[in-house]
Amino acid sequence: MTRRPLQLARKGPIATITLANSAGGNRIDETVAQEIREAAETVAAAPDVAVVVVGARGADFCRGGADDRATRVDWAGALAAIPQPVIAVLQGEVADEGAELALIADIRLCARTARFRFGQVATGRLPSSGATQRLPRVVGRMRALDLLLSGRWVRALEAVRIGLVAEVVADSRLKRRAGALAHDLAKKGPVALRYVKEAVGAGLELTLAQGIRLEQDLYVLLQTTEDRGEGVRAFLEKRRPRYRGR
Amino acid sequence: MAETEPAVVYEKHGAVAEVVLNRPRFLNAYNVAMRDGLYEALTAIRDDPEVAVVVIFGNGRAFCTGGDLREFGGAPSPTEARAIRWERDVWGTLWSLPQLTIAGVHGAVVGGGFEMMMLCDQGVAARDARFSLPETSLAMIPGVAGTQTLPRLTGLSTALALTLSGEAIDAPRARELGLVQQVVAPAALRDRTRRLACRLAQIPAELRRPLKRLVSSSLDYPLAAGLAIERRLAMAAG
Repeated sequence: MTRRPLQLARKGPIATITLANSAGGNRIDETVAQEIREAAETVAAAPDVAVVVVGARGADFCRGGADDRATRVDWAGALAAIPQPVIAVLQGEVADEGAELALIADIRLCARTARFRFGQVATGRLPSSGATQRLPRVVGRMRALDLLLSGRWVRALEAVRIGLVAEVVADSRLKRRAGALAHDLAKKGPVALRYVKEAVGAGLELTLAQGIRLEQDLYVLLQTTEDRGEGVRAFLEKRRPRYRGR
Repeated sequence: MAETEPAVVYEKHGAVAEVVLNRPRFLNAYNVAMRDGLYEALTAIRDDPEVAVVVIFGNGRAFCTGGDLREFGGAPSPTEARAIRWERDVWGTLWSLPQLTIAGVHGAVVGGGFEMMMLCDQGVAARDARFSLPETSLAMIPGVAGTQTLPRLTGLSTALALTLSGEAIDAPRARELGLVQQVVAPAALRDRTRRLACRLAQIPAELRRPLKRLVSSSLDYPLAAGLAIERRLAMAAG
């Protein structure tokens, strides 16, 4: 069996999507783009997946796209439509389409040696997988323009300082830290995780008053779930809750 | 057991109003009595033209640990809860106060307590303050606007990380993220917060009020619309 350039693995409530063409710098070609889209649609449709981890084999997370054909597949849209929290685990080069892929995740962890670059403009292209829209929402407008116009490399410590990643960890600890975070999230209320993601993500598109309405409606909707009652009971009885995702 | 002390203490010192959360035995967990006390104090402040600045403190070891889960069992149906939430809109009242608001926080600043701070205009934190939004552990989401205020303060990335993971941050990190503007020694918290309040109270009302309104609503408008409103208000003030 030949190894596929993209792998999707399930372990209990955690689904892991892995870029596995490390020899080719995990570049996103048309095949990989297609497979990212299928994997994203699979996990999005799986009610018992609570958390999604996106990572890569090899020295570099992803050095970018392979050619123009890959952009015909809306892999980024499919990833962004995943309702569960997505953790990106980043090492080495996180460049161009690779950086755009990372931006779609909700929580980005990176190794101390990771470096980031939005080099599309420097090579005569426009970003097409979300960078012009997501980057300003993550780091602010002026920083986003700096990174997109210059195409310069951003090292891990700057990345965490400007909010491009949530956390930097030693290279040797990256996988372990990502696993611990995924397990930690998987212990929380799975519907609550989806709703937090929805309220935070959708809320930024709304006025504050509209966003607060959305938050409150989701808050009240959660009161009708079994998990909500279990969460409060477990807290008062000082024991671990058992959530069932309903 | 009935609580004899009021859940919220309200005092006025000239132009500065102090609202103090006062359920120290319960780490100032937010319950119905506190909601009613806050609503009363905040609506009185809203209608009091003498008050220029409001500070919020918590008595005891913690600023506020969020909703009092002991009262969650007796909550009305979700539809009733929703109706009550908008009938006595404590948080909307706090957010839209014409006065400047400062939270002076220490110890546990958790859930609704953390969110209350983010509805204020400025934050001063004691060095021992720890901030977290642990709702997802309880199969809940933040319900005091935290999913909306946090991303507007820190950007999307940090907001998602904090709300999804529930991980706590300390006072220096909160300052880095722009969530509080000063970190002070715990013993100096009230003094330093009051000093800031007095300084802000010196700003003339005809500047203080429109400035707050402009900045608070800035992210609700496309830039061009916000600039037009700014210009209009500046002309009116000048």
